[in-house]
Formats: sequence, structure tokens, C-alpha cells
Amino acid sequence: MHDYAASLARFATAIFGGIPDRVPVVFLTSEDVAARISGLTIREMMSSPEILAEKTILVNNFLGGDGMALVVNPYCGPFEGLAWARANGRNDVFVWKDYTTPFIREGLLCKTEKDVDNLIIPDHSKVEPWPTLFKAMNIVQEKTGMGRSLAPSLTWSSVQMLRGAQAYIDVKRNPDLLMKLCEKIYASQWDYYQAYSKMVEPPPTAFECCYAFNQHMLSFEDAWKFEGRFIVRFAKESGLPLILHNCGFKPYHIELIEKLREEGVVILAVNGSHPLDIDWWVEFKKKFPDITIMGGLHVSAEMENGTEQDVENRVKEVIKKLGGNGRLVITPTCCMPWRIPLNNIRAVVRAVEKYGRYPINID
Amino acid sequence: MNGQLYELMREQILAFNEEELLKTIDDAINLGISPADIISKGLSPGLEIVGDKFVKGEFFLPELMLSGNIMKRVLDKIRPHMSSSTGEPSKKVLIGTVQGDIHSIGKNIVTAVLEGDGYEVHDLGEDVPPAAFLEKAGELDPDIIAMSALISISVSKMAETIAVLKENSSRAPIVVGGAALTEENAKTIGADGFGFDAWQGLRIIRKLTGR
Repeated sequence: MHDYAASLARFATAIFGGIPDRVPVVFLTSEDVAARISGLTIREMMSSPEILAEKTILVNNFLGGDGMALVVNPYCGPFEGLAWARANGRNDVFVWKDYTTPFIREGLLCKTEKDVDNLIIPDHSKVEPWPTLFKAMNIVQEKTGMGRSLAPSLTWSSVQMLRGAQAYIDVKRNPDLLMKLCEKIYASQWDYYQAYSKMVEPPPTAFECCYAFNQHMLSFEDAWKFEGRFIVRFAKESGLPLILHNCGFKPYHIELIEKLREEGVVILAVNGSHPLDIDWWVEFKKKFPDITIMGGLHVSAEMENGTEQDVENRVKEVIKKLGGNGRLVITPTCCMPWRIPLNNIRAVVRAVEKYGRYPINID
Repeated sequence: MNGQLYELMREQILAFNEEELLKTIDDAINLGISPADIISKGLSPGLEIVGDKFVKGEFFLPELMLSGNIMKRVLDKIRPHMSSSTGEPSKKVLIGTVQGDIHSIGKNIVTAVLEGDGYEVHDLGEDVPPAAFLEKAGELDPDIIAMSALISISVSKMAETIAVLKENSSRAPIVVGGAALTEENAKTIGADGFGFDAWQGLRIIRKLTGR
């Protein structure tokens, strides 16, 4: 029987800066992995909050980490796309897949300026899948004491879903239209936050996705203009400290944290796997000793292509270099793809058990 | 005089000044400058600078996509004047997001960049089954087949699509890209080239098409 209370305490201690009994390990579960383990299709899992909660517990117990995230991702990515499609009477733009994450067809809901003007913001307390996801979180919470998570994606995730590649032209050619869309998305994310607070709990933190902040996509200035300012607004209006999630290949971690702090935003942790060079994170830790690192492994590196021994070696090195004084959560990032050998997932847990007990004593 | 015009074209590309660039192209054509020279001495060097700035982190996807769109419009203007001077038809690229994946942004950005470089791009869209790639490849006889995948489950379908094409004697080299892939994965599934981003994809496609 998994000791959920110990897992929760371990994770909370690491996030808020204490030294837990061992380094926590949290998997960002995905629909792919959930379908593999549960044997159900995505729609079957989502057919009721009870089934979704049951499969969430089953899958997380199988994985053996310290997290209990819903196996249908409760962050405002693909399923926010579903809510956008439904709120706007466009079920046709959302494509379901049986054994992998379903997505909205990019750029179809906001092809024109008129579409942006007419875009209807989803009521997250009523438009599915959110009521099902919120109810499932509550059931999981009741059974395990874990499983709640507020995870907004304030603008860029939805910008890409709604406007598609055209958004990148808009940055230069039609910034006013893009800003109008961003304002609508922010209003929607605020509605999501309020619905979550009412139907689940007033959240203690927000797991904030910062997808615009990638060097191969946008300049920092444009990322700030179209996403960063909304992160600040959300943090100030909600009063929540943030865990920053960025699973891109060239993230602006340092620039973003510095700028957010200038604006008075409290940052507890940063979640991402790039850069893959652990020494980069050693320097990060020196620069920001009060920020917890959630990462250490990239799901398409050792996890997907390596052996169990490769995974163990990587976890060992990460703990040795980054785990010494706490502030570390081993989190393979981002969502685990279909092709990851399940034994490699379990190797992460074994390695954390082997090397991650405090005080850390490796070599 | 011609040198000044080429310089002006480069500046207008870097300023993303489409309307002024089109006027400069008109002036160049009226002066009797050959389309081949307009492209090789004015436009291509401009696009190269955009690419270099993208690699250095001075330009980003908006600039890359914008320059691709502008170049496409300019090439459309020049094309009617081209047959007598160059005679060489555009290289054809067949592109699509593989079955199981409906993401379009990466593919559309690559398409814009390729079209801006003078390639004739045939876009099959998203969620494209192997049989559709095969059928269109048979019909079109492309110089390159390009595939995109954002989600990891699609990599298996990409591998299947590559196998189907190669088993059926498709002659076109296959280039893959997208966040689900690494260079290592790309080799494993039998691709002939991998582009981490749109600019790298363009460079590999240029190499594979002998440009």
C-alpha cells in the first residue's frame, strides 16, 4: 500500500524549501501512459469522474512516484482546447484518439479577426471536460489525500491552439489582434481558476505553463509582451506563488525568473528538463538557491532510448549534483511518451530510493 | 547600379518590407536584370542573413515565417520571367504531419520557409496515413518528402510511413522534424535527414536536393 501521506509531505517539503526524508519523484503522467497501464481508451477513462479517479490511482500506484496527477492532464493544454471547441459549438475541430492525447486542430477557431471578436470563453464550471476533471480530482483527494493541481497556461498554449501558425505572423504584423486574443485567453484562465477554487479548493500554488518563453520560438521581449505580463497579472490577482513549467528545448528560465521577481512574483520551483547539462542546473542552483528544481531527466533521452542502467546513472548524477541541500524533485519532463519502456519508469523510482535518502551520500 | 539594387533587396528583406521589396523587384526587372541574378545576388543573400540571425538567436519564428511569406510572394512575381533565363523547374517537396498527429504549426512554418526559398511545396495536411503519402508521392514524384510529428506516439507511425515509402521504391529522400524527434530517433526510423527547426530543415533539404 502506497504511503500517500509520506509522498505528499515529501513533495511539499521539497517545494517549500525544507529537507524531506528523501528526494521526491513525480511523474507527469500522460494519456498515452495511462492508456497503456489501465487498458482503457482516453474516452473510456473520461466517461465518468469515478472511472477517471480510479484509473488515476491505479496508474500512479503502478508508476510508484510521489505524485498523484490526474492521468487525463488537468493543465490548460489539450483539454482546454476541448473546452474552447465545445464552448464555441465546434466539436468538429477537436480530434479524439483512443490511446493518445487528443488535440484541437490548430488555427481553426480563430482564423479571422471576427472569429477572435466572437470567441466565447468557456464556463469552466459547466463546459466539459472540466467538471469531470474537477470531480475526479476531489475523489482522488478523498481517497489518497493528494491529486489536486491548478495548472493554468495563461496565453501561449491557447494562442497556438486557437490561432495556429498565423500567431507568429501576428506577433509582427497584427500585434493588436494577438493582444485581443491574449486578453480573452487570460479571461478564460481566470474563469478556470475561479471554477477550480469553487469546485475543488482554493489552491495553495499554481503550476504555471510558460510556453512562450523559448528561444527557438519568440524573443524574450515578445514572450513577455504576449505571456509574461499575464503571468504577473495572474500572480498578483490570485496572490499565488508559482511553479514555472517550461518543457521547451531552449527555455528562458533565468531571464523569466529575474523579470518575474522584479515584478514581485513569488516563484517556488521551476519544472523543465532543458538544458540537459546538469552543470547548467548546478549554476542555476547557485544563482537561485531558494527555488526548487523539478526536473533532471528528459523523457526523450535516457528514459526513452536508454537502458535501466542509463536511467539509474542519470538519476544518481542529478541527485549527487543537485540534491545535497534539498530543493530537488526528480521529475522526468515533460509528459512521458508512448515508447518509454515501463521498466525505465520504474528504474527512476528505484534509483531515487537507492541514492536519494537524506542526507545524500554518494561516493 | 545593380549592386545597389541587390543591397536594397537585402535591406528590405531584413526590414520585412514586402511592398517596397516588390517595387525594387519591378525596378530590377525593368532594368533588364535577369531573374537568376535577382535571386542569387539579392534575395538569397537576404534570406541567408535572416537564417544566420535565427541561428544566432537574433531572429525568431515570427521573422523566419514572415521572411518566408515575403519571399514566396516575390518569387511568384518573378516566376513568369524565369523560364527563358533559368529553365530549371522548382524542386518539389511533399510535406505532411503523420497519422495520429494533428499539429500543424511546425509543418506550416517549414512550408513557409521552403516556399520562400523557391521550393514547390505540396502540403498533405495533418493526420496523414502512410497510404496517402505513398499515393501522392507516386503521383507527384517529389524531390523530397518531409514529415512532421509533435507527439511521441506519432514516431512509430512516421517509421511505418518511411518503411512503406521505401518498400515501394520511392526515390525521394525523406526528411523529418518535430518535437517528438531527436537526430538519433530520426536515423533509427530510417529518415535521410533531420531538422531540429525550420532553418535547419531548409539547409538539409537544400543539401539533399543539390542546392
